[in-house]
Amino acid sequence: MSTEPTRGHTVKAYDSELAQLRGLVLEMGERVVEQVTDAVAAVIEGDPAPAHDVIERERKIDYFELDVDESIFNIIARRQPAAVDLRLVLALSKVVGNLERAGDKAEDIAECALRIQSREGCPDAAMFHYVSRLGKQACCMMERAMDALARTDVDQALDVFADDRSLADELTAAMRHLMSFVVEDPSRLSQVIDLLFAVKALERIGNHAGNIAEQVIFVAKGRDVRYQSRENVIAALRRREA
Amino acid sequence: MNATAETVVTSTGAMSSAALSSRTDVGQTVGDITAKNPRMVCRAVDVYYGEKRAIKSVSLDIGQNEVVAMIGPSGCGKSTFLRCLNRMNDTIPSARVTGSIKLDGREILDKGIDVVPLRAQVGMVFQKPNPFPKSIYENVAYGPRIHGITNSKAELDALVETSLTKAGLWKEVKDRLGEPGTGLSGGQQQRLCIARTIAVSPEVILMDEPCSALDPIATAVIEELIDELRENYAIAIVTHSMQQAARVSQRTAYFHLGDLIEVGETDQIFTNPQHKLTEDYITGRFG
Repeated sequence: MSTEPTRGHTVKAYDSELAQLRGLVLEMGERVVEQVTDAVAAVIEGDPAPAHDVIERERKIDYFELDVDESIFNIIARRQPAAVDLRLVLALSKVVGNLERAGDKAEDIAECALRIQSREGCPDAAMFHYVSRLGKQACCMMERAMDALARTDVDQALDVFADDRSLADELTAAMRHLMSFVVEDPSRLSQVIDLLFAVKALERIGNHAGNIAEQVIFVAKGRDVRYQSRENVIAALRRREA
Repeated sequence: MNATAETVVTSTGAMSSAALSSRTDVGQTVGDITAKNPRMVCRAVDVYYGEKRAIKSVSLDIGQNEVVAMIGPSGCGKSTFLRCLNRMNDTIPSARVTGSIKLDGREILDKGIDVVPLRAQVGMVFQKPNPFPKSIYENVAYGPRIHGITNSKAELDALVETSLTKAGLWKEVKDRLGEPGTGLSGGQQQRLCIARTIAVSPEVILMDEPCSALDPIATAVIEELIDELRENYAIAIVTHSMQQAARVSQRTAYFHLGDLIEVGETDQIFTNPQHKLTEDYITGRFG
């Protein structure tokens, strides 16, 4: 359910500035998802090219953050936003921080891919099972969080919370799964450590998507749900909407 | 009419406030109309100009040691409501006020009330500084003299000094008390008017856009003064500047076409208003 303001500002330029700001953040989100997708592909397919691409493009993600910060700085100085506009601007400031850190994690995964490829011996394809699963889930969460942000959709944001919970379970399963390969063959320890880094990074990316979903709720409801039990937030807001 | 029956008093809890984030109905005030230590208690106040109902059953408290800001678009009734609080609307022949307005428990709308002492108890500062065409000293001394507040010249001198000091003007005018008040700058004139109001020992101070004719520096001086005056008085201010309302008040009331739409802590009104009309107004979407 979208809770977007239904009416534009009397000063149309203000609408345009807020739309541009949000557009910039959404574009940054798309780039981050692309980075994660390519980094995971680099691990699974053993191809160094996408890994190098991810590392090279990481700086562009940082530049997005600088552009968004500058835009927010100007809007606060010139427009003195209030109420939902103020909440949106503050939320976007936090969202870009989360996106930037998610971008860093994608770079970490790309570096894991290069390390794995630089060693002798190719990992067993089965070892990538959870990298693939967690990669898909983290990207799906990030896309859903950005979609929720684009439409100020509380229901979508709550769905991201639910996914975040299952992502933690997936990480636990992934770690057990990867450790089983070390038990079978201790020479795979280095490969497993790199893959553990990768799955942990993917879980963190999912967490950043969850943090972005929190900001969507802040924009829509004026309620800061950080550091609160996600279960309680889901239960309270779903009940309210029902 | 039972005013409380018309008023939706909401919890200030975040979850509760979220429930009302898209209210669009008009006729019920959203938020808590009461003050912790009320000096003025207004209930179901209606104001008619002839047949036109300019204020529609407005209920609101003005509390001791607080500034209540009244905001809203032109013609919303905020100044009309403010003028009810010391019966300034009596001066308009077609105006008729109904409901209840109590000052410290005493009904001020009773016909038997003498409005002269009432207007000393509930002082008013207007949009445009309006010093008397007299000396600075006489501007402040006039009220205490006609109300018989002081018994001697020495007492009057002391009261003039105290009032000018409280209004933050003493240091600037102490050496020229005999000069005309109209010779002061706009900001100084407004502070002189505030000193004049304070001099008759009011309980409540009403301010109707007190800074709209002033530059930003003079405005900041007045705003600082309002904050200091809050320690001793109950203050209600009408302002068109939302930033000013946000800066100086503890509670904010939003008026729209004669209805009091929403009242709340100023922090809440400017970050998370509960009524759509309030949000549209303070975010600049009103139209």
